[in-house]
Amino acid sequence: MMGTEFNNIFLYNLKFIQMKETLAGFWDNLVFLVLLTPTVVLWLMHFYVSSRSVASKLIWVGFASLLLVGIEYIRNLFGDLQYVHWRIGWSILYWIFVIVLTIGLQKYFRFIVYKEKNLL
Amino acid sequence: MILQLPIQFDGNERLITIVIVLEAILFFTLPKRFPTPITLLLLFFDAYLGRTVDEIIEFFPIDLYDSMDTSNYDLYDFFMYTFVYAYYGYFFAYFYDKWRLKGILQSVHIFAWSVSSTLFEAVASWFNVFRYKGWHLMYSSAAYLLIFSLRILLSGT
Repeated sequence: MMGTEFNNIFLYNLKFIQMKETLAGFWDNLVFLVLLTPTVVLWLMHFYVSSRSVASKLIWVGFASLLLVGIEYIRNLFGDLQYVHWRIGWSILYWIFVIVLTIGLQKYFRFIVYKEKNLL
Repeated sequence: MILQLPIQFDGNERLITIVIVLEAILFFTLPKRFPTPITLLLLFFDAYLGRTVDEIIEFFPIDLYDSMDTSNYDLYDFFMYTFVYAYYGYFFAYFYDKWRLKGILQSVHIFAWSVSSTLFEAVASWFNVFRYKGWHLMYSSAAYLLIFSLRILLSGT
């Protein structure tokens, strides 16, 4: 959902980034939104929850952020995305924000699951 | 603008506001049926599904329709995906679970929700919530049949 919001706000509304209007660009965008972003976030959640130490949790957060930014960088490198008023550093900030938000939601979700389980 | 404001607060914005208020009243007055995590998942799922499907068919290269006042992402597009779609999908799951439908009644339920969704979309397009550019209401009815059937199939009930 955050990938779609990223596209809607930064690509279509603010036009900070331009997407190449070709079929290849469309498929590239679709695979990124529907497949890659959810997969990376699910991966992160899996490894984050199963990690014991804070250091390893931070490593996973860093790795997932780098992976998402890396995919975006490759899309830019191949010309499917063109930065107009955008820098890769802002993408790093954005994806870290998304990941921290997802971790927060996951913690809240686990909290209410345990709370309701205890009430039963 | 991060989220485009309505050019004019007219029929489409009024319709969406009224629908959100009515859905919210229904949502908060209905007795609790699912545990909170399941309710949240249902709401998130439909908000995600609506956004993603519209992102695919509303912009280049498919570009079959525009929603709300501009072809960009409006504030009311955000409200529509976040509240209207989310509550609507929740009610579908709610009544399906409540009535414990089996056999032919499952098909009746899917058909009834598809018809009501198509009718709502007809009203919405009349109020300029949707402006078709190659899309037709009949395609929506087929899409709703598919989406509601898949939802039941994937929920494993």
